Amino acid sequence: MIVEVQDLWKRYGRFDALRGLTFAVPEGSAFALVGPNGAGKTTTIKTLVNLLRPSRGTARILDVDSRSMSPRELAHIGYVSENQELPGRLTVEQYIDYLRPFYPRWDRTLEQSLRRDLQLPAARKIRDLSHGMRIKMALACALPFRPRLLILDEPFAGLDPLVRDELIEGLLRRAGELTILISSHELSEIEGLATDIGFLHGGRMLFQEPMSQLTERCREMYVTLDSTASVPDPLPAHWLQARAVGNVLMFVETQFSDDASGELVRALCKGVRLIDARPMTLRSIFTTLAPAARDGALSSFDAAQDDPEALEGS
Amino acid sequence: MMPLHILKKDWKLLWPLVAALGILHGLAALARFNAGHFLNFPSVPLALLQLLATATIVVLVVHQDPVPGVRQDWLVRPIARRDLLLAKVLFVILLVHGPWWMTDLIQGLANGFPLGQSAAAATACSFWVLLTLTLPALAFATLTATMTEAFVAALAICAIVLAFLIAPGLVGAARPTALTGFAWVPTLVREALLLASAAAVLVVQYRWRRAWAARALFATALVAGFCVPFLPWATTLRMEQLLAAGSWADHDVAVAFAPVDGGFQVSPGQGLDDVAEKPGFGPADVAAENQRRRAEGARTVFLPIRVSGLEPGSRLLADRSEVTLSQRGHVVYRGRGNDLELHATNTDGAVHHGIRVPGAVYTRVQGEPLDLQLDYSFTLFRADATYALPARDGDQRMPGVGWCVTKVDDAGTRVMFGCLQPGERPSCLTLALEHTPTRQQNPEVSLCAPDYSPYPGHVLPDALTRFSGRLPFYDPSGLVRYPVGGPQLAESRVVVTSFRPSSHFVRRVLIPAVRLQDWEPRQP
Repeated sequence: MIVEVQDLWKRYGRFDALRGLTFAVPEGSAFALVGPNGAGKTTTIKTLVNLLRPSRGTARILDVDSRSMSPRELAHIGYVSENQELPGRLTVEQYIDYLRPFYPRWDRTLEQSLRRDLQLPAARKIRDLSHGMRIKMALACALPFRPRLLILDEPFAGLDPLVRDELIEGLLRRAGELTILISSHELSEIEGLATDIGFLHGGRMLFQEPMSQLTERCREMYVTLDSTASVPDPLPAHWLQARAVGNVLMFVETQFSDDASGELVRALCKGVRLIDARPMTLRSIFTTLAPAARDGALSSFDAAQDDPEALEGS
Repeated sequence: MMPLHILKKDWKLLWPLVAALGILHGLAALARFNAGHFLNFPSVPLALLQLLATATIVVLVVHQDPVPGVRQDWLVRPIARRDLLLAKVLFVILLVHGPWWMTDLIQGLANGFPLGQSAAAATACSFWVLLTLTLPALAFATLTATMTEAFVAALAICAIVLAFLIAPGLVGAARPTALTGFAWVPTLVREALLLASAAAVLVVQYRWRRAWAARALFATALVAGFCVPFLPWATTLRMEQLLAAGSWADHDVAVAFAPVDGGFQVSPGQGLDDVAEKPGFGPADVAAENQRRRAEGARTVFLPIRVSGLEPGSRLLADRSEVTLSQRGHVVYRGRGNDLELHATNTDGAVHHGIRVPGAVYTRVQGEPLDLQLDYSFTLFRADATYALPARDGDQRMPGVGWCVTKVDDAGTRVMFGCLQPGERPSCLTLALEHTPTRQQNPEVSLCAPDYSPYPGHVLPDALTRFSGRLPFYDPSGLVRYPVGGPQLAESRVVVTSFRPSSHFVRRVLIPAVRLQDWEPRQP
């Protein structure tokens, strides 16, 4: 694991921004840290790169405790954040020239290619760049040294679709070479990029799993019945947002499997005529899981995951 | 290597300001050079502007890579914080202090002082500014991330400083060493505290980035530093003994109350309100001081004091005298005596020591027998060298004193004496206008500004010290007649005697059953 976080706590006064956060990022993956506002994504990332000190617990990055991170480790970490403060009075060219000697593995060819691809104006002062250009600039300064880990904190926030696409394209082109840890609200973009996902809520990791597995297990279910539909009571914990319209029962199955889901539907609903299980976008999954997590429904679902019998009975 | 790389980056960003600061130093030096021995423009405000501009650039250079905060790009770059700190310190030394040092050096050379002396004075001045201003400013800058924050914090510091200047007066607290040669002790302790806290802040900030801890540390040191001057006199003297070992010696000098010498008698024609309470006062100073005393409703008594065991030619200065008046064991007044200075022409000397008593106390106890205790802290000055230069348009370089000139003022009433000296000025000088053929002298003028610090700490306005004195030879009001007047001026010279402090000692004088009213000044 290139990043390992264990029981991480971060307290600001009386407020716990992180509450026993635990997760790991496999090497070579593109790990997306998602969660609602205030979930603790930025705090997690800033703690990982030693911008913040944890109140408790450990965060290891490149096998080093974040608190002991030295320039040697930082030479292998690229970091791009939406609110990163670059030295505005330097020009693009001057800043890249300044950074180059700090990285023993700086690749000038890659630098040139990035600058060309991202169309960075060399002579313009950084403070005169637009927000999108600044993010591009940060990216152009985070990749030429071929980092082992690239950390992106909400990199797409406030970007127009064109710039966003350019950035994603740039990242995808290099995705195989490095591990990416990305936090973002732009779930539709992450979808094509992330290989793993961690869902953060209230300073805790509610779940972490490979992207393929998540999209596989979440389905929008449309169950057409012979007669007027009603929401089963009690509702299985892994069925979310259940509602009945006419003779159709709709819900989100968060533990979908071809056979078991159908069997459960048939067991709970009489006169099932048709079951339509539709794949969900990451955004739909997020908007379904986020309120449930907020309301505590996912906590019982979590427990149920560990105890399949409880799931059945709930 | 990396510190230089970082320094180059900062230079690219700040060179216009560094150049402007260099020009400011150059122009200030040129203005002072043109002013010569008698500065006729607000030199100290200009020097303060130089210090302010220096501090601003120091803050700016640190803010190129601000320490507090979590958004700065440099924090996630493989930049060793040690290198960063070193780069900032190098920038300050080379690019902020360098030009200033150079202008000081050039000014010393342009005034005809030797290279070694000019360089030593420039270096001492620069070093002192580095320790007491730029390094604390560097540490201060690490506590803030933007100029706005720095400005607000600086305002807060100014408020603390103002509070320390104003509040003591409101509650009646005094700085015991103020205007004495021992003022360097609390100054040094304060600067040492500030410097130590600055070093600690730099370590805390560049190693751990604990901004609030560092801010608390800096603020505590600042407040503690400003409290130091309020330490009791005796504590300060003990600290002086520790810091400047060897300057305290036991002497055969004895100090006693000498009632046989009689009371203080004013000169013929002089009013009781025209008495010069303090040595070295000119007519204008006397009038102002007496006006102040009358406004306070205070009365001054003059006690005859005899000092024996002196070395002829030496000067005795009371750095402080504490007066305690008691009546039947109860203290009725405790305060400070007036300044006391004695030029010994013999082994014995007599002086009337002025003691100002608040009006209410005086009215109550003036006729009562009181026990009076005088606690003196003395410094003995030994004559170092004597020089003479023509009273009119004199120009002479005097080792240990400096390059001095004389000229008659525009009103034609005084000889102006002015000196330039790289580094520290002599602690004590006396001037006398002497008619060379007859050896007649006008009253001596003291240029004693005691400073017993064992280190060079001269900062303002630059590495050159300027000092001057006025020797009156004609009083247009006709009240005073001088032995050496205008007609003798062409054949007169200014005799300059420099003194150096040789030792400090304390003496206590106990006067039982004294009646204050017996020692008021009287008409002859």
